[in-house]
Amino acid sequence: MPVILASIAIAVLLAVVSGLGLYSMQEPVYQSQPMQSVRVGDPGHNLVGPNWSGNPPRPQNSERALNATSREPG
Amino acid sequence: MLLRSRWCPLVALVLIGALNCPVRAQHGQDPVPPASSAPSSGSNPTEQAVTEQQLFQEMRKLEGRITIPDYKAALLEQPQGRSYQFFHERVLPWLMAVLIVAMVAGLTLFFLLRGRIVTQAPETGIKIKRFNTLERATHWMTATCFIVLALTGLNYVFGKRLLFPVIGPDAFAAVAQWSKFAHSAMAWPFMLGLLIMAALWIRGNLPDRHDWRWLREFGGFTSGTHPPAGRFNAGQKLIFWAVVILGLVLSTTGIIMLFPFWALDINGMQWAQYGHAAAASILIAVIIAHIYIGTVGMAGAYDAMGRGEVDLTWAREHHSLWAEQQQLRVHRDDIAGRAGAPAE
Repeated sequence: MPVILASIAIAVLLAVVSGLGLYSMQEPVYQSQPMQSVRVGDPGHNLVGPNWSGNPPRPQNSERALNATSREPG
Repeated sequence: MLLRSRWCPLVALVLIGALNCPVRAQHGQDPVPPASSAPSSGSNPTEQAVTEQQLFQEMRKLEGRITIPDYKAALLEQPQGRSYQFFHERVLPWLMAVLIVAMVAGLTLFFLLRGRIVTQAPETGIKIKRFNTLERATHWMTATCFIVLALTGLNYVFGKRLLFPVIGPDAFAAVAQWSKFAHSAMAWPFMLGLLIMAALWIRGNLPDRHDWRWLREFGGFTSGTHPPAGRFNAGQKLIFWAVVILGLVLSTTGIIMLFPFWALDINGMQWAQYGHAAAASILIAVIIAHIYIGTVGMAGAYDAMGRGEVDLTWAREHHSLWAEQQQLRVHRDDIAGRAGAPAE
């Protein structure tokens, strides 16, 4: 019986060590295959945020141009 | 005037009903007339659309364009995938169930017919060392791993069919997740134990001239006398080689699946699954027989691997050639011990 119990303990120990080693080799898919798009598993910073209005974003250049036009006389 | 006033509400109701008809039709509240009675006013566009099945039959493969880097995800369906699905969902559960149930039924029948195999002569009380500590530790370590691997592997196939309806989705999700961890982790000590066992016992399990007689007499079941056998009889040799060969198949295909797409493509992965599942089905059935004969099937068999010692009577009856060799060795050791002892 001591040999059996020791064998079970060795099996569990080896399994834990090899399991930890196995899972430390793995990396999340957003690390192994990075891309610019949004991933559900790791949305990162590419989110609409809490102040999203639903309107398409206004380009910075057109905003400046609009301000410049409004300042011109006539 | 009286007539006019009496019919006015009725006319108004009819007019309101007539005006209301298009509105009800737009809201889809009208009952749909039977197809046979209603004349068709046009074709249903979705009815004419091509189905996935038609596309698959025409093109054999369904592929698309994707934006993620994993190009394999662009392949949606292919013929091999359907064959694999048929195997995994239809063939494999039946294969496993039939093999396991047939083995248990066969052993039960054997036990009812033959009963427990006991020694014909009384025990002598003299013990012979059968397995040393390393052999027993390797056996029990590998056995522990195999039981965990078998149960967690069976969960892959039968879990959703048998366990899920009993314990519910939440508990089954947790069980399946931990089963997956245990299966992947226990595989490594199992492979280590398999290699050590193969190295320790391969010499004693090589075929010899006594094996055919043992098999012909079914270990003495048909002849009524124990055929001669060395350290391992032909039945034990069959189990040993089944464990080694099927264990190697399981190890190779298991490593392939532990590191997906590292060595093989999707078809190769599916073939690895075929081999893994088939080898596991056979080996589980073989090990059930091994557990039976090592416990309830034969008196004294557990002592060999449990304590490492067997009675001399058991050794003489089941492994007569090995028992003779062991007695000769002990006798030689005694003579050598006496010869080497200093004279007083």
